[in-house]
Amino acid sequence: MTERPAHADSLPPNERRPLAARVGAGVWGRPIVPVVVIGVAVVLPLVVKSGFTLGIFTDSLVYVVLALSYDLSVGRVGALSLAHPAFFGTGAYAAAIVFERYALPLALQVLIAVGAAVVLAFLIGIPAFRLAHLTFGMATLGFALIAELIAQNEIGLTNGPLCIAGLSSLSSRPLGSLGIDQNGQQYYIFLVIAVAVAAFVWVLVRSRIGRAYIAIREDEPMAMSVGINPKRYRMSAFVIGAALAGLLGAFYAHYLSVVCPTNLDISYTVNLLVILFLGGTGGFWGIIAAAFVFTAIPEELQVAPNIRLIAYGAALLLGVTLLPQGFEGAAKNVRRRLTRRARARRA
Amino acid sequence: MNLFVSEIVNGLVLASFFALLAGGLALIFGVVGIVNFAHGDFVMIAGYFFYEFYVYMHLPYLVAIVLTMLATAAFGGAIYWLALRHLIARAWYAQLLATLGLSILFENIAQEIWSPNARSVATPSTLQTAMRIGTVNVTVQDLYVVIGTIICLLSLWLVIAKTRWGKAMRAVSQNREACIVTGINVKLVALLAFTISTALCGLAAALVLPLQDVYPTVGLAFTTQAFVVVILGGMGSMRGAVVAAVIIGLVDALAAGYISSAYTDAFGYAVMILILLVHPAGLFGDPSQRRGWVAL
Amino acid sequence: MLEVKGVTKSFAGVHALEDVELTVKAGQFVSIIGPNGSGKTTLFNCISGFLRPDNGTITFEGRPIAGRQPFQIAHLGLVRTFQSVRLFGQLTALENLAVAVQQHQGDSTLGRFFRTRTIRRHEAEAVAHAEELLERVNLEQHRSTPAAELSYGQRKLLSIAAALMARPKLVLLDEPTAAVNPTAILSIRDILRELHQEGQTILLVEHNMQFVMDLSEHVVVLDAGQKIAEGSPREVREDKRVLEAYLGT
Repeated sequence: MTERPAHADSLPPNERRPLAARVGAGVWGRPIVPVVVIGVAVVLPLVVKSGFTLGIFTDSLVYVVLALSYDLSVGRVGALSLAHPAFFGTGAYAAAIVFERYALPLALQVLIAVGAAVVLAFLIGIPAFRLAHLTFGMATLGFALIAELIAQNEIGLTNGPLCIAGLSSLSSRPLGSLGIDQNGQQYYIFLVIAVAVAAFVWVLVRSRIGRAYIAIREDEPMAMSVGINPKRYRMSAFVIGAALAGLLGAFYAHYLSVVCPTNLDISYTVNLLVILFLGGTGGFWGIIAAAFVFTAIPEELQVAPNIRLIAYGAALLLGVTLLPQGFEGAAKNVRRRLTRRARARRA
Repeated sequence: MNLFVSEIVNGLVLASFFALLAGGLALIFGVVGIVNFAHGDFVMIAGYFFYEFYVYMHLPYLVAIVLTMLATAAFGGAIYWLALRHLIARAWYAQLLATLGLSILFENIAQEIWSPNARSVATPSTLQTAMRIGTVNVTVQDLYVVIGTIICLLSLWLVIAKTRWGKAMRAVSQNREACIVTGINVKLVALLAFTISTALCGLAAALVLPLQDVYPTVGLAFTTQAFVVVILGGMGSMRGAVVAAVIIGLVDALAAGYISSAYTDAFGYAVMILILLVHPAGLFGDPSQRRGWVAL
Repeated sequence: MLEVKGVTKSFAGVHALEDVELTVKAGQFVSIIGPNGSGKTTLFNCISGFLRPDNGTITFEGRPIAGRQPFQIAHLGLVRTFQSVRLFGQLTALENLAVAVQQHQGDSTLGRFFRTRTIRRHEAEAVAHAEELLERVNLEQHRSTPAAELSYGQRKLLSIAAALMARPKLVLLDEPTAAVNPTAILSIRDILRELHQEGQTILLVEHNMQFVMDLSEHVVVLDAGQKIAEGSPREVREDKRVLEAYLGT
């Protein structure tokens, strides 16, 4: 998946597109990879006939959105929050509660879900961002556990462990009129969400906000000395990630048509950390690929959850110990080494 | 008044358990230099060891305790040597993730071996005997937990304060590089510290198991509680860990007794977050040692 | 423009700065010199907001700035460089400069995201300004090279350009010649001289005496945290206490 034209090395260094394109010029870079990926994703339901398999791909799309939004905080600004599922779950609950009580339309539910996730992100972020590194992580974990306890125990609001069930399921009439079944409709809805969120993240990290993220991650004192307020940018990445997770949560509630306290569970965090760190934090395609690999393969192979988790645990332990920069980093290293060798051969 | 005193007793029992957990975790952080997110899983595994020794083999309680400590220490030392020592020079978040992986591995392997069901240890009747101290009932087991913890932590303190190895441990925790230069066997000191800390996990499990069930996923809760205590006490400070254990133990017990038992864990976290906002490095932590954010 | 009055800072009981006074007037080129450990960098850190002085006042254009956050001070137009070059290695030379300005314009966050026309205009202006500065420090052919791949001297020049990007009213340069080869030192000297002639106010901390004496209008000498002399380069050079401090007699 190289983004560079094959003849890149024969160009003078300042003409190399991907780097030069980042300032001033367009933000979209070379469109081949996204076009191919989206194309494959669009025709997939025509090839995959099994509703079960298509459902697995839908789940993978959910993880793509969760992972990309989580990475804004973890990878882009280096704040290892452990509270991400809380935003996802809060979005799901917010949508479910307003649907159940007031029967609001989906668009309003989504808006309220995003609002709830953003409010929660500020509630967690304002105290937690006064702490550094590990204490930040543990404080966010504490808030995440408190959110789960509230979902478990505030039965008047959430039905507790009995869950909020009977939500209208997700479907799209225009897609239905094309002869696409329910599974296919849900797949396409999540595909649209995933593409939109991925595009949003892509533009965001290439905007000036994204450059400020890189600046504070790479060298905080230097960033401050050129006038960047690190706290504000960290908070913005955290809150934007929460908003995206909340948005996803609203759709997910209708996809499952039931919302339970387990939707806030930190087991999501574990899956997401596996995806992020093995896919390469602060990356893009690596994370998307890892979201598919770690969601679709175990589901498709019908691996017992227990065995899957053993594999995850081993992957996390060995991956972090042996591949410090994740798959994408490892791939980049190999690529760099190859180009260097090619250059040496030419010289 | 009665409720208050009995909650204080509960709090002290809880505090003892936390002190054993968090003392070991602080030792690992301070001397070995690793953020060990699998710490609670060593307690979980120790719980099963104790179950095997005590329930399965019918060994006497004290013998089972000592065997559990030895077995857990040997297991911990082996895991450290095989896997965790390679994480020493790595950034804290890499350590956190790798040990989180180890924790997931432990949890699920334990499920394969011992099934996901909870196991409880029928406490011998002598231990269930309630004594009246003043106006409250205290079981013998409660006393065992508190006294066992005090004896263990005092002897650990003596070892660290007086012996050659203890001094080496303190030296390593203060300046690792200098110790390597002066010829202290840093690798061995780290292994020793890790082994001691897992032995404490063994003791904690053996003391508390008669009061609480063991099941494969219980480890994560222990880990997070230990982290709350260690962070509150100041990372790497054993003294801080013990003080913080008493604070969190009492807060948890009183909150459970007076406010809401459903939110017990939340109160520990709330106290941690509130105190951290005033002392960002914890009660006994070194404020100058605030390391940065994830640099990836 | 900058006034430092009675600034004291101690670490664990050791006085790193004691009652230091310093004034920089608009358009002036002032240098701070002194032996190692005399408190030069500590003073710099106090002025730029990385340290909070224990005592004393620091005012910039009449506003007290002691104890403010570094990024707030940068917004007021007082920008520093670092002794050890700090740059964003992943970003290209041009992007390193682009990062520096973005905070100084009142653009809304939403606007930044959607790249409204104003933003695009600001960005185009910033790029033009950045290219001008790259030319000025002779790095125009490296505009698209990631900073991590530049030589040390080039990174030093780039970090000076990054500080100038925000069009600061006062730049603080922390040992720009440290660990730089002699030819690069000469080009840094010429660049600074030209800047000063154009009216840029500069405060320099420096070890290299030749460099300081060539450029400065006014020199302040610190020793053991105290100001022991100040004046024109010639006055300072002939001051007995300065000789004592440097030669240890």
